[in-house]
Amino acid sequence: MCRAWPVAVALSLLAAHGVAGQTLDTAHLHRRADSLLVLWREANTLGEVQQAVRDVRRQKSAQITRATAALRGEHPVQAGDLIVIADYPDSIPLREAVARAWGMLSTTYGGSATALVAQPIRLTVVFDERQLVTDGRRVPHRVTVDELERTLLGMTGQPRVDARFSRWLGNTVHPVFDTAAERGAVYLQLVTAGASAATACFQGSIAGCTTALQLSEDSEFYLTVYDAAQRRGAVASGRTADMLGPTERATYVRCVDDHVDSACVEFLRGMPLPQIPQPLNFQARNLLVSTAVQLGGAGAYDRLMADTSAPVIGRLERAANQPIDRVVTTWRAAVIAGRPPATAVSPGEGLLAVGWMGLIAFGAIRSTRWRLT
Amino acid sequence: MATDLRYWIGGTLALCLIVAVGAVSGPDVRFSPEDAPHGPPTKWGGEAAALGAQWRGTWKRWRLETYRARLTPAADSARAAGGTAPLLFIDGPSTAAQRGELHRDLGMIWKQAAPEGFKVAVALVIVRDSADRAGPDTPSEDARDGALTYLFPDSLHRDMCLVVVHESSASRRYFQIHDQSTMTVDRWLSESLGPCAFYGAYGIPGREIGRWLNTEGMAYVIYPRWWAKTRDPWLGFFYPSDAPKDRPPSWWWVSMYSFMPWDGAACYGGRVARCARNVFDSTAIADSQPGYWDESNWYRQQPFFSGVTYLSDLARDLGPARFSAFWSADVPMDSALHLATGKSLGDWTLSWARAVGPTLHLGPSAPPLDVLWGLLPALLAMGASLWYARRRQIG
Amino acid sequence: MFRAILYQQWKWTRLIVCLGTVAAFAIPIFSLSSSTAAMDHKMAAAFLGHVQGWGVFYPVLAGTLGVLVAIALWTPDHRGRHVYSLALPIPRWRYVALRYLAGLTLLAAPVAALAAGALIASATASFPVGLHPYPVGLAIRFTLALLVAFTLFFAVSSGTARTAATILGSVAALVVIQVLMSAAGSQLNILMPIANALLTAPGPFAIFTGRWMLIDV
Repeated sequence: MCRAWPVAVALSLLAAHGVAGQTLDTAHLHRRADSLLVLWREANTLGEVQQAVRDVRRQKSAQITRATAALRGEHPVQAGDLIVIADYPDSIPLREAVARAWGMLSTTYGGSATALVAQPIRLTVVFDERQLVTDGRRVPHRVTVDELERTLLGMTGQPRVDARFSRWLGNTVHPVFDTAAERGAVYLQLVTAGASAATACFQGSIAGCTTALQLSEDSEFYLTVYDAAQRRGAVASGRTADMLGPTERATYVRCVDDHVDSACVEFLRGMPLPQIPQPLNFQARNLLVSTAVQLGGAGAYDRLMADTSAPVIGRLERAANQPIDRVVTTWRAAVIAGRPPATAVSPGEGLLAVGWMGLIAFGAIRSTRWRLT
Repeated sequence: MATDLRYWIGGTLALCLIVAVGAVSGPDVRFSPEDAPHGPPTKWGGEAAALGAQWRGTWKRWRLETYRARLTPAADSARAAGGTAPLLFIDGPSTAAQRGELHRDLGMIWKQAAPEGFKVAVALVIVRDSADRAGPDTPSEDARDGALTYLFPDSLHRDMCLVVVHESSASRRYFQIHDQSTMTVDRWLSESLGPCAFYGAYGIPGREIGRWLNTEGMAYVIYPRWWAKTRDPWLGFFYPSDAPKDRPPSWWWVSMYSFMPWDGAACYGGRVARCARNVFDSTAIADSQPGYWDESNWYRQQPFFSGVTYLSDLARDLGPARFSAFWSADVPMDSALHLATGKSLGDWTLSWARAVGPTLHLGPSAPPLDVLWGLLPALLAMGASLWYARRRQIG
Repeated sequence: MFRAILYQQWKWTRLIVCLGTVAAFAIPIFSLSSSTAAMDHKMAAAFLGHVQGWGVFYPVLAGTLGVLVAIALWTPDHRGRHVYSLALPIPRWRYVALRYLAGLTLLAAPVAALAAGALIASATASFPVGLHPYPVGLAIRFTLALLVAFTLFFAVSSGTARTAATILGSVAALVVIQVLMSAAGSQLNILMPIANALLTAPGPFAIFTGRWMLIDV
């Protein structure tokens, strides 16, 4: 016993030293982290300043380019704030395309369009597929007005939207090109969505349209948009059993094979929200946004993006200067009116078919099998 | 040779030459300005990014050491009490009932995994979202920040293996939706334990095994499942259930090639030497035992289908005593496996791979039976044709 | 006698054989034209998918060549009602055997062209580390597939026109029945099981299916 206590003291001193060592380690790490944080904050502030200076410089350069393009003999084509510089402007339908593109931008984005076109767009007209291009976007000389307009709009891009609106919309706000085609596509979505809310919308229920468009931004939208059978279909189309681990597969089988709705709900709850099949996609919502902007007239887009914390319904109402029911009603009416025509054979296709039949028949009749000479 | 024959042969050879020359001249490279990368960050922006990365690393390391320091006394007590369950610490909101449930589940898992108690204490820390934020005005998170992290025993802390689990869909299902289905929780907890389960059950690995783990071996110890009676059939990669194991559909191959290294694909094609090379490359082994590891990059390319259960399956195959001998061996990993199993690394790996994985036919050769089934009816038909011709002979 | 038969068959099939030879030479060369050693793993995996896509042309070419040459060899006989062949002073079975061997001799040209093309392509292209060319294996498989197709359709074509018409008519009837059933809303599929039986082991055309990879791991 008397000999044991010096050993015990030594051991406890060692343990205390170890603990103290650990405490020192963590304290040292904490101090180091704090110093790094201070340095990072300083560097971050300086970085933001440098970036702002760079942005200003870029803007100034763009302004100079815009102001002096004509003087430098670059034959700029301008409509509104959009300037396009092409090396052979007369060989492509540039004026018309620029005018249409600017019209589309200003109608869709209002005052925000100017920021998109601060930098003039450069195009290089190519007459040969193999031509090497080092400056500007290549554009074939046989480009149509529609294609050129889309190219220009692709190059200007779209203004950024806040995360909340982007989450609902599925993307940034896009200009609507071919309104008839868009409406026809949304009509098809309504009809084929396989969702009770979409069916109700098609049959005239504005509440159904609001639900199908997920305007309430509900993360458990599948409880209201789909019925039990449709939820089962959503699970079956969202995943295949082979891709699942054992635990998920058990829930999947209970849902899809045993038709247990609670299992379907549980499975859908475990899926990331963007992967759950939605009744109406980005195209339908973008058309709704476009409808709201058109109803709201001047400044509509700015009003839409003014309050990024507001719910989507409120933002659309503010943009359109109308209650949401009115906006959705207008949208629905346009979609119903945009029903695509039934498939028909065009006269050209019919003539082509007859022409081929005639050619083959001629070949058969002229065969040596039938001819005596 | 007839004149027309010369023309035909000459023409054919000329066309072949044109084809060869045409294919040799490569395609034009077109440069399109929209493909050019964005401009570099500003000088201070770059500095800030570098400092941010350093800060994240240091802050993360500080949190790990803090957890370790906090849990060391509890680990000592648990070892003294027999080491019947990993330690659990939840950083963030949780109810007493949830903590009790998780303790109980961990105890049940450990009873199967290491009935004799742990040799190295295993501590599991679950970090809820609310506890995971560094605070305002700090560098934004990196993809690696949320990855499962392991801190292995080192010279100062020889007796604890620490696991830090950040909030994930599985933990959210448990804490928020109260998804308490046993299979889900059991799998979530045992998969989280990862390599630390091996440390806990079998102790610190031998020097050479540790060096192998530190190089490429972590991918093989991620899912400890040796206490399950049978092997997990899930391949960890999509394989169509209606396709036979030796005839995957064409579209599957490109994904498979992207998913695993060439040696892994060659192993499933039956090449024993490449099976071994895929597991153990003696030319590139780390100098030291593992100290720290996180799961941020392992999923990008896995060495095998279900490679994550490789060492678990070996442990099940060998039993605790022989696997312990393998784990603590001080010879290179391939030799240790040979001593433990009696088979070479390549042979054991090939039979392991083929047990649940597909059999791949590499190269253009057709399976021999396909050749037989094709030639047999063709030759029979030809024989019938000759026999029929003989029967129709007049005179 | 064999030379005479060979020359006669050459005259009937020279266009098919020459075009087939050029195609057999070209396919391996074009399939590897975009190969380079400087590819990361993902790009190399996509490149293998590209080679796999080109691989479809090998069985198509083998099948097409075998069928067309076999049919072309017997068409003149059917047209002339076998008068010429029956007038020849050799046993009929021997005549059929000589015709078969002559047909095989003609088909040696596309096989040689494919082997040459595969060897040239493998020698001139560079691959990422870990991938290997299989020109000989590819040529062997092509030869076997060509042999199967030619032999089967030679045997069918050597029969009476009625036999060939019966076989082709049966296939056509199956297709028509399937189309009518689908149009009537029936879910029953009679073609797919037959196609699967023919194209997967132990079917006679199993050798045509699967991957034809000139480059692989």
